[in-house]
Amino acid sequence: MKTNRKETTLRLIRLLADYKIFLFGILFLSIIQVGLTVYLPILIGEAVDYIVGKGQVNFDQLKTILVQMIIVVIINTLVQWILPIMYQKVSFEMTSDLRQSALEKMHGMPLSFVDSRSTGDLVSRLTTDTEQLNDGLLMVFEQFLIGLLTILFTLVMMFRINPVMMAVVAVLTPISLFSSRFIATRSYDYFIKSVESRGELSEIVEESLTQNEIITLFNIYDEKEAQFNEINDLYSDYSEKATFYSSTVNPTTRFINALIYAGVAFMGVILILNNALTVGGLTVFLNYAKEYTKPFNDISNVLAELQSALASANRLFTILDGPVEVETGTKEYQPGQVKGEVGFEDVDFSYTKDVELIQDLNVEVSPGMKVAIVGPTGAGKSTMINLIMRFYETDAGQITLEGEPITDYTRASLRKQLGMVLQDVWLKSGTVHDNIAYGHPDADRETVIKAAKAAHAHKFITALPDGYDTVLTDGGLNLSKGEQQLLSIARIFVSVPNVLILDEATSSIDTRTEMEIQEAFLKLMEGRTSFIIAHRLSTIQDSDLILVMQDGQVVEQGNHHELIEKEGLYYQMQMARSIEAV
Amino acid sequence: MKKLLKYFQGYRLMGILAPLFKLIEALMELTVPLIIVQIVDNVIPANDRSLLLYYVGLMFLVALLSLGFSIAGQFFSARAAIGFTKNLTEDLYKKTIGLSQAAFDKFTPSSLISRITGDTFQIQTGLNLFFRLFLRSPFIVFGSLFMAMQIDLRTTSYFVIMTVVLFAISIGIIYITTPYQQQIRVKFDALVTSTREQMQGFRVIRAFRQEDREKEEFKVLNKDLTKKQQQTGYISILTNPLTFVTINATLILLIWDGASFVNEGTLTQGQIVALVNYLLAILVELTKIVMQTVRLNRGWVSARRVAKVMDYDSESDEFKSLEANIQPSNDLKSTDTQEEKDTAFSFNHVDFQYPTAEKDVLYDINFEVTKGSFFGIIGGTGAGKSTILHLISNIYLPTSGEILYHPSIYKGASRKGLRDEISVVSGKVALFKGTIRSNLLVAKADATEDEMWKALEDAQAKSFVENLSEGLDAPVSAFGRNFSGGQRQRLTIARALLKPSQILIFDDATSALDYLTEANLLNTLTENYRERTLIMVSQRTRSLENADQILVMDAGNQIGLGTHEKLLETNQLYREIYESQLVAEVE
Repeated sequence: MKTNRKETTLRLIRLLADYKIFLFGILFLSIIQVGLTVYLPILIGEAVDYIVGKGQVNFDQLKTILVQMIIVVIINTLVQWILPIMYQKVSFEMTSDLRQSALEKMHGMPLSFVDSRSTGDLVSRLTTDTEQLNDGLLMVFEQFLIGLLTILFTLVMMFRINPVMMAVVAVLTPISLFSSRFIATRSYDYFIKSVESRGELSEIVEESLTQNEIITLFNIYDEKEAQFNEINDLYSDYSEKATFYSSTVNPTTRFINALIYAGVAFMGVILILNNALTVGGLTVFLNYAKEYTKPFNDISNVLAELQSALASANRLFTILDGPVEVETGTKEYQPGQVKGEVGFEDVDFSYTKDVELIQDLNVEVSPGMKVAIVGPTGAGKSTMINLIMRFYETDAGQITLEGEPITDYTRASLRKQLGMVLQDVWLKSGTVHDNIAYGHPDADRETVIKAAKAAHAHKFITALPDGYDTVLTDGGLNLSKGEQQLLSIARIFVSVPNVLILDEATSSIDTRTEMEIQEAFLKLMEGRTSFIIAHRLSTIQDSDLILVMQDGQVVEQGNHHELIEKEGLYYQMQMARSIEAV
Repeated sequence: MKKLLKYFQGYRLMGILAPLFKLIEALMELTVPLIIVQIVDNVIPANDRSLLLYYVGLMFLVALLSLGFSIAGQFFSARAAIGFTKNLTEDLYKKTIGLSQAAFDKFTPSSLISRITGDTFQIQTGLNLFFRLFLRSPFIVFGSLFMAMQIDLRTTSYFVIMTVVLFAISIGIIYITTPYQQQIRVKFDALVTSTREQMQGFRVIRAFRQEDREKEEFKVLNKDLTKKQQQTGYISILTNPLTFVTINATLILLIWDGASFVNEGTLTQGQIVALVNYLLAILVELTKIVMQTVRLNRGWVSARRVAKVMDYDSESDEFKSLEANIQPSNDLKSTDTQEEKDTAFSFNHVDFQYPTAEKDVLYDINFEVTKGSFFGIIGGTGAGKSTILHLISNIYLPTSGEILYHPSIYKGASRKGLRDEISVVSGKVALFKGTIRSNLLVAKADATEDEMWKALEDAQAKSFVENLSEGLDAPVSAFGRNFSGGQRQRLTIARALLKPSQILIFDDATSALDYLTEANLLNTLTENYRERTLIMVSQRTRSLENADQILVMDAGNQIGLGTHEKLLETNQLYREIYESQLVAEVE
């Protein structure tokens, strides 16, 4: 873990190297800023020394010093203005580039990488983590660098005024670091507990608000309230402790600093009395002592923040270092080349090495055939589609199109030949028109309407407030499941490919509309090869070939009548009609 | 907003003590420069070492007292902020679950959830900050001003002008950047939405070969966000140089004028040092105020979001103004000659429109359900079946027309009374975190072990519950996620059967059951629950074959009402639905 953190840091530094000029600029300006900030109190001290008492003010000398102060202030103001512009540019652009490359990378990754991670996780890597990294980078430039430089400069300055006092301050101040660490570890446990109970609280809230109807109908308000209050009390208790303990860090640090301050004042006065120090010198020294202690708090805050920024960077790098899908072939299908002859030859495939799925699968499909794939959940039906679409690659054997291995062609060229509708509907935020024309962004309204009519979606679309220009939000949340499915079916009607793949494409549509769509599909499938996964057996009985799958194997092949006569698994399924049982 | 103040109940004293203690701490801190003045002006000229020890001792004492007051202040502050939030959250939750469905639709559940969890947290953080800093920092600012005035009145105008200018700079920049911050939020949300969309759509994107387009879309959003962030950054970074130049300009003026005063003998060297110190103290605290204002503003926005929910009326238990639409069906009963042909309830020309919708979803619905009968509702997606159920259980009220209930159902003229007589199995399977037992007791708080097992048996759930090692006490995780869809559904059916109610409603609630289980359930219902009125919504004609009446719905219209046989003859839609599901059986 530790070396990992080191690597991540090094890698970030390498990425930052692209902004070399800016980085030098940032370092240079930071040194100037800190130098001038530290120099200013010296001037103030000198100024005070020229204002000794009544009739004892040296106005000429004072004037020179004040002019110097004005110059210092002007330069420092400019630096304080330009410096953040530079580091903001570096950090925003770097994180934005990282975000872009991570997204682009993901589009070229094998689906296995994506499928094995939750959407929420991937999204948060691209959004929250990049933000966190950006915040971390800004903090490094803003506080860490300046803080370190300030400590260095003030040490030097205090040393110049009085080495002994400087040594005392330098040694004593870090004590506050220990005290804050001590408190932090104590409060950490409570923070963990409070975060956990907050999670529990959120769970109850989510559960009861999304299922509010049940609370209403069973009239269990009191029970729910009692349950909620119990956890809310617990949460409040932990939260209070965590908040209180952590909030003692500041007073404690201030206390320690105040003691040191008093000590320094004492020593300083003694030195003055022995003529080893001037009053101005003491004033300056006290200011430095204050300046010196401040960065310690900042740096310990930054270090904590930096840990999470590094963790975020690491999560981003995991994506950037992830596997890439390599093109295996360069050929492109020519128009008219694909008639729809598909073959599985000795295909082996499994998602994980230790669980075998498809083994030695052989299927031959002639052009124009309607192929149905049936079988219980987990039998490997969708896997066949993953393989044909080349979302996943076979472990052994090959899949052929027109007698040639599909791996000889580019993925894009292959997918262009295939039209796919999945059970899990995916709609983009955008208009209905854009969604139907997804595969062909330049399709005109007429084509889109034709496609919608073919998919029996025209009727409900025209009933929407803005018809085809209605904007869908949140993945079509404003539509019913069935309507969403109709839209995704309409997509493939825009430009009908030679091979159709329908994975439970009508599962959420009521049976009557489904029948109408089936007719449309039938028309569509004429002369085209089609693969259909359906849970309603009634819709696939007229298929030319039914593949009955179980545990990754095709256990039966044939048409409806042959399979019924065989009285095998298919027959049993037909009889029980319980295929949709969960 | 004012209403929220009442949640300080029980924490009022702490709420006052917290800032007060922080003020005392601030006062203590203000005395330190004064002590330094004394040392410089009294100790050094007189060379009095015992006096020096006295002053240093005083500084130690001040530090110690500061620590004490500060920690006590932090304690009271945490107490009060969290206590307030606890009270508020408790009440907000109570309020929220009591909202009417229409209010739910208006706020949307996800927004309500984020108000209860996210916003209250922001309020808590904001309050805590407020107690700790917001009274302390201005006090130090004004305290420093006051002290500076004590030392020398002539320089006061510098202090005042500087403070005003600094305030103007910070507030001006916050004012300018706030809309930018909101725009950043919006752009960031857009980026998140696009990312989520792309992550979910990899298969479709690849199938349609739109990778480059999606990348391009993301690039535009990403660039847009970055640009806005940079723009905002360029404005907000102006705070530092502007503050710096203001404070130092004042400082230089102060020293120059101060020098003249000292030369005149109206000011001492030590006093100049003190003035400089106060000036710097003001700077530190002002910076704090500016930084915290942003966070405090967040808490304020959250408080307003919470107050909005609080201002909403809960669903009233009384029918009050709604009597026009919902009535006991006394008159119906009296027109009926036969006692046993009692009408449970009837719909009388009911129209309905969802509060957030533009069009009606139900048009002129008319039917009558006899007590103890089996009433089926069928129709396609969006036909309005579930809406009818919502009206029956009074989750929504008809827009026009009326629903009449039998007096035994409409007892006490209260929603609660009505819902006591209705038991629902929702299509959306809903279980709560707890145990199987706790989920069943929701239906009947005093149910016996036997009653629960009986309900489970009737719901076809007994066998799998028996197989669980903990039986009835088997844990159920949130939403019942640890059970399969079919098991969850059977548990919700058992829950509904256990509830001693006159009306039993199944809202497409057998979809996750296989054919055999469903058939068994239907048998059990007709055998063991004869006396209950059964309302069943289904997509399958099979499930409704034995119904006394079936209502056929299409796009919000009632297009048929009758028995299975009659509808097969007279209703084309019903016949089509029937036939579409028949194919498999013909073979």
